[in-house]
Parts: sequence; C-alpha cells; structure tokens
Amino acid sequence: MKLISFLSIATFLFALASCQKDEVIVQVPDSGPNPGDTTTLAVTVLKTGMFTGQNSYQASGTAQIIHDINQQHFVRLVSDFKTSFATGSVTMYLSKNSNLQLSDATSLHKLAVINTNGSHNFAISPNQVNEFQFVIIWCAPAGIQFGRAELK
Amino acid sequence: MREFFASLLILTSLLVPYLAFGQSGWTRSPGSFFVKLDFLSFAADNYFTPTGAQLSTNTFKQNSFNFYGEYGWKNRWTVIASMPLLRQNAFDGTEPVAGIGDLQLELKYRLTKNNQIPLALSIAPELPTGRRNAFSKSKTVPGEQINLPTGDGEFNLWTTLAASKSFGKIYVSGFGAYNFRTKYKGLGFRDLYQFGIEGGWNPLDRLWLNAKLRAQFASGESQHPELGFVRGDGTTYTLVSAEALFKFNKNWGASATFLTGGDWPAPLKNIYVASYFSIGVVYEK
Repeated sequence: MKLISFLSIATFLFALASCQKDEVIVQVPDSGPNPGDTTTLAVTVLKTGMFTGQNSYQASGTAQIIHDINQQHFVRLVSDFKTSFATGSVTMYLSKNSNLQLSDATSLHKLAVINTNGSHNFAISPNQVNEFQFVIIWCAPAGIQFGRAELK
Repeated sequence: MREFFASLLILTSLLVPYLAFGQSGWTRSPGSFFVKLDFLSFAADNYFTPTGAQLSTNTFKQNSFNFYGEYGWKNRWTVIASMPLLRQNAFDGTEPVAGIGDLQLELKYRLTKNNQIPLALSIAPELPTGRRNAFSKSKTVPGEQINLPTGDGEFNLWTTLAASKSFGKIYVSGFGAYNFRTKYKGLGFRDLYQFGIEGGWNPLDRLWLNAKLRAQFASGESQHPELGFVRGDGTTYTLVSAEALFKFNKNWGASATFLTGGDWPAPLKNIYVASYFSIGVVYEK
C-alpha cells in the first residue's frame, strides 16, 4: 500500500505539472497488476488501446477510458504515452472514425491541446464512453493526423 | 514540416542567378561583383513525409525576400554570400511568423589556370543566423501552435566541386556537393549530397536563359525523427528550374524564374512541393 500511495502522489504531482487547459487532474496510479481491480487502484479501466503512429509521425503508449470511485469518467493517457512534439503541440480527440473527420462535428469530441509526453487525463461524460472508438492525435495547424489508438 | 521547416526552406532557397557563377567552374574577375535581390511567394498543400508518402495538408505559405552576392576577391578566388533577408511562414489558419534566414558564406577557388574547362572547388559554411524557433499560433484551436523556424538552427558546411564549358553562346555546367551537417541540441543530422547540371543560352544581346536540374540525397537512415519536419533532417528532392534574365543596361537587370519539384533522380521526402515563380533585380559591375 505504501507503494501504491507513492505512485498516486507522484502521478498527481506530474499531472499537476503537465496540466493543460481542458485537462483535469485525477489522482490515479500509473499502473497496477490488475487494472480492473478497484479495491487496489480506486479506478476502473473500461477500455484500453495502444497508440500507433501515422503519416511518418511517432505515437506510442496506452490510452484508456476509466472511471474513478466517484463515477467520474476520463480519457487517460498513461505515462508511457509519446508522440511528436517537435512541431509544437497537438490536439487530442475522441472520434467515431479511425481518421478524424473535422467536417462531421458529430463524429468527434475535442479533449484538449497538449504539448508534453506522459500522463494526461481528460474528463468526459458517461454517455461518451461507448460513443467513440478512437483516440486521435491531431496536429491542427498542419492538418495532419499523427496517430491513433483504438479503444476496446 | 523544409527544412520542415528547413525542408521548406531548402526548396525555396535554391535560386542561383544566371550571371552569377554560383555552382559553376567560373570565378569572377578581381574587383567585379554581382548582387541579386529576389522575392518569392510559395504556397503548397502537397507534403511528402520523411518516408516519401504523399499527404494533403493545410496549405503552407512562405514569402521570402533573399539576397545573393558574389565578389571577385582576387585572381581565381570568389567570395559569395547569400541569405534570406526576411522570411515569413504560416499555415492557413495560423498566425504568420517572420525572421531572417541562415547566412551562407562561400569561398571559391578555380583549380584550373585557363578557362577552357574551368574547375572550381568551394567551401561554404552556413551559419544558424535564422530564428531557430518561431511558433505560429492557431487561429482556430486556442492553445495549438506549430514551430515554423526561419533557420534550421544548426551549423553546416557545404563543399562543392563544379566544372563548366562554353560553346559560343551556349554553356553547360555540372557540380557535385556534400553538406556536412552537425547537431541541434545534441541530436545529429544526416549529411546531404547533391548533383546538378545546368545549361544556358544567350539568344539576344540583353537576354539570357538557363535551365537547371538539382538532385539532393541524404546519407543513412534517420536517427532522430524529431529533427525531420521542423529541422529538415533527411530532406531529399529533385528541383527543376528555368530562368530568364534581361539586362536593361550594362549594370542593371531583372530576372524571372520558374521552379518545380520532381521525384527523379532524387525522391521527394520531408518536403512541401509546389511550382512557383520568383522575380528579382540584379546589379553587376
């Protein structure tokens, strides 16, 4: 339990340091032996996906949809999340399609603009959990999709 | 996203004026000089990724006001300087950013004593005088920005060997060049090498025409993908240009150049490609 507490504090501090607009601070550990075990992690992992890069850009790491003990839902980028920030920043989206379609506003939900690798958490509503199947990394200025993770 | 930036920069900084002896075997006579100021406006939504895949993106725009000058230092020696005096970059939907570009200084020496088939060797350090970082803010997504520097942020050194031959009012030149690139924040770039040919014609007393083909290749594989788009690591291309230069009198003239990209012999990688025009004013003495 001491280890779990330490991870929680460390993650909280990191999340605080890297927090962007529209992003929320959520006190959850980075990993655990049983991701669905709410008795040890205090969160439930509902869906998971791994990022893959697209269009010659890097993207790797884990995306999750979780809820905490208060039944608040989040899209969570785990600490192993990495993408290409040499260009500046990227916008994270939930999407119904594997490739973001900005012309169809009903097919997407903007999460936040981020500019650092590692752990991030974005609040979503419960009815969005099953509405979207992909987390998209989008470079808005250039209009290039850097990567995606399919949530299952 | 140059070279990107630098990749963009490379594509838009290749102009070598006709009456200049840039990549040829000729050198200027002592005390003579040639100066050119040119302007270009470039827009492209056709991006080739570092692996060569073609993407349609938001339109990238660049306006650039460039200086090029040659001076005959002494017999068989020429000093050359070139630099974008002002470069403005933006995507559709982002705020423009501007700055000077990287300064290239070149020292050229003609190895052959006669001018039958002049052969020249030059070294040209390129100094990172441009803005290494210039963040262009999105107008549509608050908080989003993209780095569109006006220089690649790195010192590099071009070495060029060039030869030429004239046949009355026609000439041909060919060159090979190697760019020893260094590091940006501890990350090493891949070296580049180029080959090019040029043909020129003087059909009227005051009119000169030329056509050029230049191919740039990169050595090895990318070790640092983060240097790709913004810093122009591993940018390759084939550039074709045609230029007309008209002299109003002994000293003054104007030029118009058409440039376009191709994928042979060097493939298009890590670069925006579009055809565009450049116009310039020259002064020679």
